[in-house]
Amino acid sequence: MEAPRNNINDLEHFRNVFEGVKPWSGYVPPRFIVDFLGSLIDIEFNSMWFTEPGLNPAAYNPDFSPEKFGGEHQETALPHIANATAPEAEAWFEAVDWMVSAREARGRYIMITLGANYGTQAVGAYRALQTVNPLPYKLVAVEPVPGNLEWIKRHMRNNGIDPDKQWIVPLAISDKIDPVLFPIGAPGFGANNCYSTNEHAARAQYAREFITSGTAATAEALHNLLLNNTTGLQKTLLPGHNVKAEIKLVSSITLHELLGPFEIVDLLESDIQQSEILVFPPFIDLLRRKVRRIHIGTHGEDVHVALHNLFADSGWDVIFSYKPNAKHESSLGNFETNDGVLTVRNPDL
Amino acid sequence: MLGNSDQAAQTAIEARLNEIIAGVANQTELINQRLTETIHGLDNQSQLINQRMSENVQGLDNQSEAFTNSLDKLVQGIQNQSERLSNKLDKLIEGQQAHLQLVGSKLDGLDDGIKSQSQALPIGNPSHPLIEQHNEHDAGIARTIRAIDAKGNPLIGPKEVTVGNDEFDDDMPSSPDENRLERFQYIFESILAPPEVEAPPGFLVDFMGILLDSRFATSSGHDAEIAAGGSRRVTIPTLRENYNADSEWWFETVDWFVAALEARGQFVMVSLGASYGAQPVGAYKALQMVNPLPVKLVAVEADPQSCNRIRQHFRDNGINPEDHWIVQAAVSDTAEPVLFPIGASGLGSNNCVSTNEPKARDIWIETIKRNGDATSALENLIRYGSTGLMHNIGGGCSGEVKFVSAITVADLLSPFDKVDLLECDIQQSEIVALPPYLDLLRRKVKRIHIGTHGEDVHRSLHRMFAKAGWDVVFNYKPNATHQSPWGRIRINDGVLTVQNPDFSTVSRNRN
Repeated sequence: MEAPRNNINDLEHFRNVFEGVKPWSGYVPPRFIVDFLGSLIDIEFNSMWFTEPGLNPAAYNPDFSPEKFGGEHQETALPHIANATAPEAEAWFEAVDWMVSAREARGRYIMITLGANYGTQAVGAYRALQTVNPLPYKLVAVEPVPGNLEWIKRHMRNNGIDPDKQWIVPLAISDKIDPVLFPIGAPGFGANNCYSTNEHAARAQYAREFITSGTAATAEALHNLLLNNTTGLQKTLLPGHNVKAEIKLVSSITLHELLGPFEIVDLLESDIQQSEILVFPPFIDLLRRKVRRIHIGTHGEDVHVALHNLFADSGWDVIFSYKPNAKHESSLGNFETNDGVLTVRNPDL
Repeated sequence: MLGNSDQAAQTAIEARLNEIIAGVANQTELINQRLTETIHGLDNQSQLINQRMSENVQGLDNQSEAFTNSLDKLVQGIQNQSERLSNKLDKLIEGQQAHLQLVGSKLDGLDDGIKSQSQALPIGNPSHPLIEQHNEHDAGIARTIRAIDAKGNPLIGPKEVTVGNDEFDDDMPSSPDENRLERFQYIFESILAPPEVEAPPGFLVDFMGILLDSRFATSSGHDAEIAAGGSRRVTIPTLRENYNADSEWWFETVDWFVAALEARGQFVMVSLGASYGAQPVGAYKALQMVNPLPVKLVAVEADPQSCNRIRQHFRDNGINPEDHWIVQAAVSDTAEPVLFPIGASGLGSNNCVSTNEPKARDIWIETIKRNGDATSALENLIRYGSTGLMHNIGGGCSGEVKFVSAITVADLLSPFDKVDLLECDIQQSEIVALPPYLDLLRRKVKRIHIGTHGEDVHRSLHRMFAKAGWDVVFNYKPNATHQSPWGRIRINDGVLTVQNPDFSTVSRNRN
């Protein structure tokens, strides 16, 4: 199934990756959409994209109503890469990694998703596993935004997964286990990250802002931090849009703690909005001992290149490496990316 | 027409042919005879084999019969024992029911008394300067109130008191086997500890061969003998005539061995407030002695220096820390960061009850204001996550009060289907960290050993587990002297060991 070592971006090898998978068809309950594996998605999880002008011009609809979704029989289609838009292309690569990791699993399937949002990746990997290689499983979803945590549980239940039997981690992922300043809010948006709020420069800037604003502002900030673990500051997650979050102190976890309980992890998926450049490098040796396959949504060309080189230099097989925000050509057709795609395979496992 | 000579030749050929035919007939006869003999021989052998087989079958039948007889006797014996046990159990249940009735009537009386007292002095009555309402747990645990000083500041140390709306008699056993120490009299008998064990220079050693870097021991003496290494006399833990010794060790060790003996498939042990890792290493060694299985040790400890010590203590005892799960975080009821005193590694007294509770946080604000350094304090907090303030931990040591990441019992248990032993020594935070996850503990944990801090905390946890149907194995209040079958024992940290009846190796009807 897999491409030979160092044969990067050999998409031809994955032409038939969905062979044997019959696209799901059936009755979709009201207020739900569905994908080719039969994952039911509550439209509420995506409502922001329809209702917030400018976030996604193609999806924006001032007449958006959840009632217009589902409530009928639907046919679905397999993911495609030829002439794919950025979301379609990213979904194709994600689905390929679900399929391959599910087929290669033995005994028990362990999947970790960093920056889980409402749990799309965890549920997708589960559905793929059920389709091609049903095994006992453990899903690990890391997500610090409380609203998203509730949605992860709901999304799992909607798709036949008992969230109490999984590990839903209400923490930020970081390079160290110290608490981080993290923008909390806007569930479902999926772009929250602490890269721009927790770095030394950002922290120094927040302190300066309070102190230069005077005694009252300083006292209030002190009060907020010591009593409520928050700076009280609001941050716009996307400039020009009404997507706000509050910068709070949040407990964090590293890959060391996440991988600690497990011997082998079949798929580690990451979409943490540039924090990937902090989170992965300190644990490259540990990853090599425990993780079979890693799929990283990369953010920023420099981040993508740095991670590609890190894994390649450490002896990993680079399977997919497509830079973010670019147009790409392949033997299966042309496509675009917003988040970059970096999939690496552990040659030892 | 043939000539004479031709006729003679023909006659000669015919005669020769007749000879040949006669020879072949003879040989055929001979072969037939041989064949007959062979067949006869085979028949004989076959008959012999049949005889032997019959004998064997007969033998097997005899043996089978003997086995069946033995089995019958065994089954009969088991039935007898079972009957006897059943009778005993019935009597026990009967006794327990009578006991429960007695407790019930006492509780009713107490309940009435408390109701009337509550009317006289409502909990959290702001007019009472020393008591304020602290928390109310949904899990059936009674309301906890916190003692505060005259200025409204929390009193540091084991000062929490708990009152319940349905009083629970802590002096009466909540489980039939509670504190029946004689059950564990012979638990260490399987361990043939050599009277002397070799210790490398700078190490202490115990009866299980556990090596302890003397720098981790708070009261080792650090004498020249330890520094030199060599043979050490070791003793098996005992409560006998142990009034002044550390009895907690005996209870901890018993729980290691019971958990190890009862483990199946894989042994998972979680240690909350692991300090330098004495508990996980002890449990690991016990497992190796009595029931070697694949093992996963989980050690949770907020102090980074202590985490390094855990790794070293693991390595000193042949455990690869990379194969286990060492979590550098505080254990709390939620994942919100907590204010925790970092420092004084090895003392084992660090906890966030006295630094993180709302009242304590108020104190930090007041202290900062009083010191007039709000600006630098804010800078410290935002840039480095530290208040910059020191907190007295005890024993003449202090720690820097910093924000540290917290982890909950739910996060620690989620990766596992079953945990054999959960050990907890978190300096009073047990009253915060455990109650919200009582249901989850029941689903996953076979045995829990809690070092309790404060009589009120001990009582609250005891009644919480007892009411939730756990079997209470050990229940000894902290800072007290207790009676054991072998004499008086002194307890500093309380001992509360509970066993999950859902994982009990003996199935029984709890109703």
